[in-house]
Amino acid sequence: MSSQGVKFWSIVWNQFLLKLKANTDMLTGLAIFQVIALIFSFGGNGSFNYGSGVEFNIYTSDLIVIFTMIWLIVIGVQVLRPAGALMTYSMIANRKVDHLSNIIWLIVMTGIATVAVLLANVLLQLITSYFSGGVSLLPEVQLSIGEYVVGVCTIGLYLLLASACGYFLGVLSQWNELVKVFIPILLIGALLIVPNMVSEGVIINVFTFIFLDELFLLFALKILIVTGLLFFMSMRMGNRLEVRK
Amino acid sequence: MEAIKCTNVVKKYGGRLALDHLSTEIPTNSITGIVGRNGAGKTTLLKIIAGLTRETSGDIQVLGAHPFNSLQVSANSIFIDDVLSFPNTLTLLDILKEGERFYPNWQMDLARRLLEYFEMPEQMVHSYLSKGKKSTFNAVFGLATRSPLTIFDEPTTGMDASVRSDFYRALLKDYLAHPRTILISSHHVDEIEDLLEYVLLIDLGKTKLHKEIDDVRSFLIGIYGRTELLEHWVKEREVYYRRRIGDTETYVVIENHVEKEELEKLGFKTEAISCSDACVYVTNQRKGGIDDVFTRR
Amino acid sequence: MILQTDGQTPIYIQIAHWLETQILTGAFIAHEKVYSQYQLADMLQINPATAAKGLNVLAAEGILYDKRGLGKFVSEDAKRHIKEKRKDGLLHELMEQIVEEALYLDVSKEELTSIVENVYQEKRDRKNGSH
Repeated sequence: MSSQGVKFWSIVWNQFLLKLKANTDMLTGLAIFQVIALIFSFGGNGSFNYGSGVEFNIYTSDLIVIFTMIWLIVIGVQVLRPAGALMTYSMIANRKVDHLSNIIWLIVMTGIATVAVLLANVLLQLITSYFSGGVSLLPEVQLSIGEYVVGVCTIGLYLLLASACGYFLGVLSQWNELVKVFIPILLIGALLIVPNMVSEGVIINVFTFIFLDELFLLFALKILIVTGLLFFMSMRMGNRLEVRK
Repeated sequence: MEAIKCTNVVKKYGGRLALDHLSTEIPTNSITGIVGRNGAGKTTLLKIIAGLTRETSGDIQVLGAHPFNSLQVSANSIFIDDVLSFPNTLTLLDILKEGERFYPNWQMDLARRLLEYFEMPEQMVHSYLSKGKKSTFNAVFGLATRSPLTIFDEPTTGMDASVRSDFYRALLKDYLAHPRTILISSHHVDEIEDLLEYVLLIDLGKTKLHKEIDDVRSFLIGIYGRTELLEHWVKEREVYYRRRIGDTETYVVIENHVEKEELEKLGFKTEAISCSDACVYVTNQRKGGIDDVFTRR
Repeated sequence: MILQTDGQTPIYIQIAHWLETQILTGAFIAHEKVYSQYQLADMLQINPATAAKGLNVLAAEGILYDKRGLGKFVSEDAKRHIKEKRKDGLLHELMEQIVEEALYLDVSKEELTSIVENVYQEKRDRKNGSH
């Protein structure tokens, strides 16, 4: 029996489809994360009381976006779990195929998550206006279609960045067992240190430079570059890893 | 032509040598049994051949390519063991369909008939299967890929005796119809020996014996005789095993380069050594037998 | 046929013996095609290379002959050849074992001969009776 020639991209595509089917359970996680975010959001993000019996509640979907980002980080790590690798390599694969199909899968998940955020946002508006019984000021802040598209893309880009971060962390923790221990320490440490640094204006400059650009296109470009870099480094680092020790 | 060629392959895990300059060649379209004690390096060698693990040093060629991270090798080989698992979101039939999308030689009909024969519902989820059924499913998957290089690492773990013999029968039948290179590792040499063309015995990460199965069967011979006579006679020979029987007789196992007539003249009795016993004697040499544990104080 | 896997006799020799017996009993006649290595492997649950070795033993002794691409066939004088070989080989070997056993048991030459005569008579009667 002769050796068969190998079509690289058709194998990547097949692996992507396999991962799509195999990881459908992760979408349940998305639903749970967003429900939690919605519950937290009902409380409102801030309220003003002017003492005259009139109360203003501000409802935003920030929490929904943040929770969805966390979910994407989690699945970015999860897609690399050993059980998944065993399945991947019982079919046809090498490291490159594995990483590329993972990344395509994460991008698709980011797309789904973005749509889910928009839907959750609509749901939040409907529920709050229904339950609060007050007057919603929303209709007066109508967005133009252009602004709406930019908003959606911005959310999508943030989510994409989150998935790339998750994936990078996942590869790091495979690369060295110690990283698994250090990731939580790093995150908690960051939570403690970053606010200080922010107040000192060290990080805030970097952060605003990358992520809070006034020009959307420039912002998009920067996020895409950072995301691409993260995925690229993940692939490079993951390329020498063994499937089974 | 050889399907696999290993030259001085070394694999280190931390400081431990799992493979110690192992060299071997496996011919194309043959069934080879990989035999050895626990921790001898069988699984490590098979994983390196399948490209799942990278060798520390040495040269290895599988189907004309270096296996680690090779899509070519992955596409033409399958590695089956009892660790292999599939997510809960896929039923057995889903997994078979995935196999069909990937493997060009995939045998869907054979796979489904085997599942039916082994009484495994296609809608079952892999992780809910018992250990034996998991092994059976994995083995069926391995057969169905009909890969030019098919590797089974302890494929029958947990299978009951009748399923084991059915599996080996299925493997042989499919091999007869579609010859390919097959490697099987097993603790139970006697179960697979009739299937094999070659035996590769690994010990301490090295090739200890690599012969045709019939040559392994006649490699050693057991000899009974009066102690003084026999001890004098084996002085110049390598003794693989030695046991005193009562006060006057001794039993030794040596390599089978002896004239039976000479033995008869000396009054010795001979006994054939089976393939699995030969493997035990060859690898036990360094520490003597279990009896020594009790006699040396 | 049941193979003995205790290592006493190599499998391919056992296969050769079995095929010889098949030829002696007339299961295969002169110039008839015998089993292929794949048929033997399937029947006996063994590796085809082992089966081929068994066939090759007989081919080397001239009991079987090769027809290129068609398989192995029984030679014209296969039966005679096998009988002669077994008389010299197997029969002699078995006889040695019998005599050795008789010596252990202090069975006299006359006693042994009479046992042989009895058994011979018995077997021949049974063989003729069955025909």
